Amino acid sequence: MPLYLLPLFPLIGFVLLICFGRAFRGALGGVIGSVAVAASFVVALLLVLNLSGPTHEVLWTWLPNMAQNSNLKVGLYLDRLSAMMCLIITGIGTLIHIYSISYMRGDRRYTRFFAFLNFFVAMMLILVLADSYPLMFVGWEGVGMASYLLIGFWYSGRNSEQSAGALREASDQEGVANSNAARKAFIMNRVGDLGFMLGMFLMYKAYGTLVIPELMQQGEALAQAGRSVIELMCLFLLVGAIGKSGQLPLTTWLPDAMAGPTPVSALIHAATMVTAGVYLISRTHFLYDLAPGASLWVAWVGGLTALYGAISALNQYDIKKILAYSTVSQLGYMFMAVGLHSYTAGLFHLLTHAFFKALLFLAAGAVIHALHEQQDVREMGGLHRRMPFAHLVSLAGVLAISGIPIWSGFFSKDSILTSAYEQNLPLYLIGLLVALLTAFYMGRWYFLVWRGEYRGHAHPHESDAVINAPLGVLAALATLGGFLNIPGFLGGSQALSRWLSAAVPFEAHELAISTEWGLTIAAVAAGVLGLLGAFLLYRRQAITDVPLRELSRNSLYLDQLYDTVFNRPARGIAGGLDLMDRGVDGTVQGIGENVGAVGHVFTFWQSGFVRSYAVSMLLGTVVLVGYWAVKALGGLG
Amino acid sequence: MTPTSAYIALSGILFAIGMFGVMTRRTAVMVFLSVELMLNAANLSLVAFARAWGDLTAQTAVFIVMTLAAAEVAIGLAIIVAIFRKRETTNVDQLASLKG
Repeated sequence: MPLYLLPLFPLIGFVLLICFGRAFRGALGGVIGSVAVAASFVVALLLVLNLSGPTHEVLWTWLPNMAQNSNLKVGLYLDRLSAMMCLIITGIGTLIHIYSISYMRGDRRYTRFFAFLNFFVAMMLILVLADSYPLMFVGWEGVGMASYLLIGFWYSGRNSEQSAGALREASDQEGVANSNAARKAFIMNRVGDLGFMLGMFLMYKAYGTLVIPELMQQGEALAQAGRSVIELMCLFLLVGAIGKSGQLPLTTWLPDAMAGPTPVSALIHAATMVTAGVYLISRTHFLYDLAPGASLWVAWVGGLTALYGAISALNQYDIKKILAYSTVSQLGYMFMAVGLHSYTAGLFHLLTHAFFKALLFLAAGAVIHALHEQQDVREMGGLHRRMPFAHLVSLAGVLAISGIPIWSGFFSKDSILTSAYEQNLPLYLIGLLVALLTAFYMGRWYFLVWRGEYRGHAHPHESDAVINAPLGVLAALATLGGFLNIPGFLGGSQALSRWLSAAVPFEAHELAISTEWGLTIAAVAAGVLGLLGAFLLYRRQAITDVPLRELSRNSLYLDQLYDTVFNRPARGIAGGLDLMDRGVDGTVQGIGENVGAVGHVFTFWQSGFVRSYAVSMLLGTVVLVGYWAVKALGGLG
Repeated sequence: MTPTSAYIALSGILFAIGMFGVMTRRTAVMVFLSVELMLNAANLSLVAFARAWGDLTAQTAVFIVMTLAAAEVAIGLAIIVAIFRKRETTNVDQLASLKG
């Protein structure tokens, strides 16, 4: 089965929905979008089941290189790494599409929403299937575009056509905020893209090719480019990965991206696109293996981001922002793992995180829906009685992300912490602290939303089956996903890691079994302690702020710092230029007006009366003819 | 044979009548008619001169003038009709709204 079918189906869905959107009434657009992605999922499943070795498929050539007579080809490459990504993208994508059929019902731009989602899935598949960095960059920019379009999806607010004045005004303000969030994401990602491009240029200069399988075949021979060059390449690529994955210091766009509809938050800003950074580094492992310095950078960026996200999530009030900072933090874990060359651990966490974070976002969406767009956790509480199903699946998500045994997060987090302990003790301690904080803020989230008494004014109700079915599937995956990769000391064989080891290096832990048990007990203890702490704090009174209140609510003042360092000087320069522009403009305008005034003097000649023009013509003719006559007759004398 | 001067005199008279019409009539159609009269006065003198000199060049010019006059009438009348539909008048003194 040809690989190009994978991105083709969603692309067809996109073209259909964007060009003939008006033809699809009601939920039909959503069904078409879902079917397109589901078809891709079936293809991905068939491909993975029949995958014996890496498949490389060349489609056509582009970007001609006259000098070396070696044109770059558009090719798709499927190995176990990209196969796993394809399954995540199409599988979770299908669930989220189905969920959106009901969630987005009644939206004015319903069909358009599914067109964008399909476009996103197609681009994401191109990103992971690309056989060369430039093609990966095409997908990379495509998903950035889709993310931009979907963050700003409600660019005019949700009630812009309401007649009530106050409601419309609030909606207008919301629209401006949404558009700004979209722009912020777009611009911060451009900074990262510069890094990606510089990395590509350097790689081309050093090796003369950007085709990933060719680079991989060179193996150790890649080292001849020199250590410093490879380190620089990897650092540039890291900048690109940081931009897409919302890591420090380019992290502030990801929480703002929650302005988009909730399915978008689940699909793009939790499960797939933001993990592209982790994918890029895993895909480029052959270079990172030769660059210990850059790898250490990756690990530390990840560790610090994990801590930053966890601290920021502690005191948020928005039900989705808590989850957004949590995503930042969990992505930090993945970076930490791939930075420590434990690619399989990082990718395993990527997989389980996709399950449980998509689940949590969709459950939050169900809550937001039931409470009529209320997103403030202070206005929630006690929802477990009114929405028992959503409560149950959320509980699964919380237990998974907190690393409670048998739920998937436990296995993946544990394998990251184990490899961190093995290689870098400070990072391990940070990771353990983050695990504690994660369990605590997720406990806070859980108790504020689901337990206690209801504090809002809406009438919450259980969602319909179209929303609940994907939630149920994701809850099952989040609960059982960990069993794909049971570590050795628990009697498993690390099946997923071994399966992935055909594509990325596999690191067997060389720790004593007793140490592994100790690490696991410490990690579980952190999770239990965090949940217990949240339980004790929020059991009696609903809204208690935890330590680091202001610091955490303002996410360590990073936005304010950027405002001071970048925005204010930029605004100053812009103001100066504006003043100058107005000066130049005024001068030009003044010249124009003066010329106009002179011209105006002559307009009194233009009376508009045809007959007076005729008279002046006659007089002129008489004068001319008289002159010629006098001249012809030899003068007056 | 009628002397050339007689034709020239007739031509002058026709031209003066046309000129007078252009300057005195207020209706656009009449102004137009007067212009045509002036053009034909010029044509007449051209033909007269051509015969006096025994040279056909001037007669060729006459055909050009006639062609132009026909085109001008076609366009001019269309404009006048359009103006009349819009303004309910063809009085050129009242159509002075494009003045500077």
